[in-house]
Amino acid sequence: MCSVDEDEQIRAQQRLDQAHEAALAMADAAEPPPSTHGSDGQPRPNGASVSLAGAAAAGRGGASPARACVRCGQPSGVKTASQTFYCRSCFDIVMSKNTRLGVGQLQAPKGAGNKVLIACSGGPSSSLLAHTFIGLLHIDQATLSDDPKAAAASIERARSSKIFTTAGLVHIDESVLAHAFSLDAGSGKLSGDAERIAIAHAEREALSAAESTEATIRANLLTLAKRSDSPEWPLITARIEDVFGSGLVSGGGSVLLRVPPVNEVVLARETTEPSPAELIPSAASSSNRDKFLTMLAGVGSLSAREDLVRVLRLRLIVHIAKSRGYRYVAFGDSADRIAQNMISFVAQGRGASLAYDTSLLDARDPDAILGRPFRALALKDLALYARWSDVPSEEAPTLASGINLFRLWKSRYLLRVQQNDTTLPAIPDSVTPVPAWKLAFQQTAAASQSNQSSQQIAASISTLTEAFVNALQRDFTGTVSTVQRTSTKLVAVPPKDEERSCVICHGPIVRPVVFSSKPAPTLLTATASSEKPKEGGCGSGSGSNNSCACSTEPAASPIVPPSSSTSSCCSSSKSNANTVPTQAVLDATCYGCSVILRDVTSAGTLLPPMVAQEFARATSREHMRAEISEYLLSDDDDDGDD
Amino acid sequence: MSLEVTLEFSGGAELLFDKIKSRVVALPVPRPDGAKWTIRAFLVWIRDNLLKERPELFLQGDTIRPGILVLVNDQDWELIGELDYELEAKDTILFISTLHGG
Ligand SMILES: [Zn+2]
Ligand SMILES: [Zn+2]
Repeated sequence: MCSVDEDEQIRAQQRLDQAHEAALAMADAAEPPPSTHGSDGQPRPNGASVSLAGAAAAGRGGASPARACVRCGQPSGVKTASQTFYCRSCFDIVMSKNTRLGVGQLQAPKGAGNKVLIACSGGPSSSLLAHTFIGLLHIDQATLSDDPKAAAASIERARSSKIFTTAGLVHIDESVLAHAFSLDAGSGKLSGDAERIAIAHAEREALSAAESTEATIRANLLTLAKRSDSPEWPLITARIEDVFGSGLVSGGGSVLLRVPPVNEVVLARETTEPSPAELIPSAASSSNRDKFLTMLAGVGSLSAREDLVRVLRLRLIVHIAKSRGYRYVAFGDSADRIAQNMISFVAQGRGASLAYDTSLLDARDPDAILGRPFRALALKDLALYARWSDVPSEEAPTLASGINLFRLWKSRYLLRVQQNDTTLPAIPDSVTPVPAWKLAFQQTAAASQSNQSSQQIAASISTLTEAFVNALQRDFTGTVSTVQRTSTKLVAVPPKDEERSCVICHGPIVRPVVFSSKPAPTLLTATASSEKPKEGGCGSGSGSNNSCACSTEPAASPIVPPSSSTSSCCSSSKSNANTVPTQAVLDATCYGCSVILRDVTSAGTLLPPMVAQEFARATSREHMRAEISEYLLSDDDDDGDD
Repeated sequence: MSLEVTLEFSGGAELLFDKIKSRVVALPVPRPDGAKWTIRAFLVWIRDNLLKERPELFLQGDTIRPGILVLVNDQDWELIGELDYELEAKDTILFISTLHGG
């Protein structure tokens, strides 16, 4: 049995290790002579510093890298994102330590139920996270052979602390998105049959690529899971469209009751191992797929679509974790992703929960604590370490990158069609009737004002932010670490009223309550007052506290979500009531999710049942709250109310 | 005469190149302009021969799109001169996309 004292010792040891590591990192950063940087302190723009170019010219062939490993003095093989030079073996040792230290930061109180579920996209960070957990939890000697001392220390630590007793992997299959890659294809003017045929080919290619990518991801995760020496290492897979599954029903509390149609394979050593094919999530439900795609089609902008998918994926993962008794969920977010999210989340109206969304531990929900143990590690370093540690990874396209791929494939097929390429496979006759979601996509695209030319790169807030951060990082190598470290300075303000959480993402709803006479002052998001605008109307104000004149409209619109886009902030209330989500739904969502809903363009867009259920509960609660609030009013009139 | 190198893609970058993760390519030697086969020149060759349609998904200006890592013979290209590195026969050039979604 472990006593409290031992517990504290372990933590003290870990703090020591971290301090040591930090000192090492500082020493590393200080060590390289300043010659690689320009006199203005700016990193060299183009790779070849004077000394390096000279050395490369003198003795070429890769055998004589100009810089020595800062740890052992041997020729270096990698320059980390923080501009530190290491040879391959020192890099492996340092990264092995850093990844373990990261995971070690996920301190959990001892006790039953400290199971951790590792959310695996298939990409290098999350695969490496799984790899690290496997190493820590099950002490696979083979993966620890690099530095015997460090290995022994981590083994000792893992054994004595037993932070987590069990782990599992979860992967959300998003291949359904491939149906949406063609988005606006076919909505505009087609140049003729050739283009139609090219689109059909590209659509088929998108679907088959998505399927084979998912198959590879499953095989990779299975390979990882099999490396553990645990008798049980579940790999759980579910499809994103299963958020529409009938199993996902909210109960009275915050816990979702029934298990969604997921496939779980417990890897038992003694029995026959499943093939990756057996891990295919329960047969894709075409009705769930149709609902999911119709929902996506109803959301007008790519940014909002991506955000919605992200939020629902998170809900699904948390749901799976809870229903399987995992109290912790670990995500592979790297420093780069955190830095990107820092910017894109603010841009998407999610500033209020930024402190949680970028934190090491998000314990808002004590039954599903979210951890980001790699948040201080650079993506470059993680990706290289994953490759060199034989951690397989494969990433499925996102909505934005998939759209770009689709356009690429389409133009390639168009060329082949126009050249009468006889090697093109025959395309099956177009499906009749055309699925409803497909028509919905085309309608949305046709109606969209900001029609992106299909010649441009499809851009969403998240892809633009990613490109922005990556470009900055290339020229100013401190970018990611600076932005990421800023996130650690954010102070998470616990929600005042735990009852009011967003029906879509469960995040805090921080807009002041409609009848509150004291708006919360310290929030990152824009605040909207339901009272008469005190200073200016639409479009005036400093953006961060912009009150909107249309909020005084009587009827059922006490709050119009403040708009951060260039479109008029009144647009949602002025358009046809059938084509926008009702005000009531907006009131039950956080600002970030209301931004998504604001982009809903088609009538009757369905949200997953779990959202609908929570909405029903939230509205009855709100109704009560409103009734009570009337008696609490003191200084403000509520003349806008009926 | 030609210079044979192995061209590899991973992390989703292969989706831009017919999903082929590894291929051997023969570069004409000498180059028309008589210059060496640097990676800078190789990127132009890739654009003209393998990614005519949407080079901006892989390249930015005359270099690689930020977020795509380059390894030459499993060594970080930042150590060997990046664009100015001169290819040698049997070199393996690997492009790893770390971009979200490949
Ligand atoms: Zn070394
Ligand atoms: Zn929300």
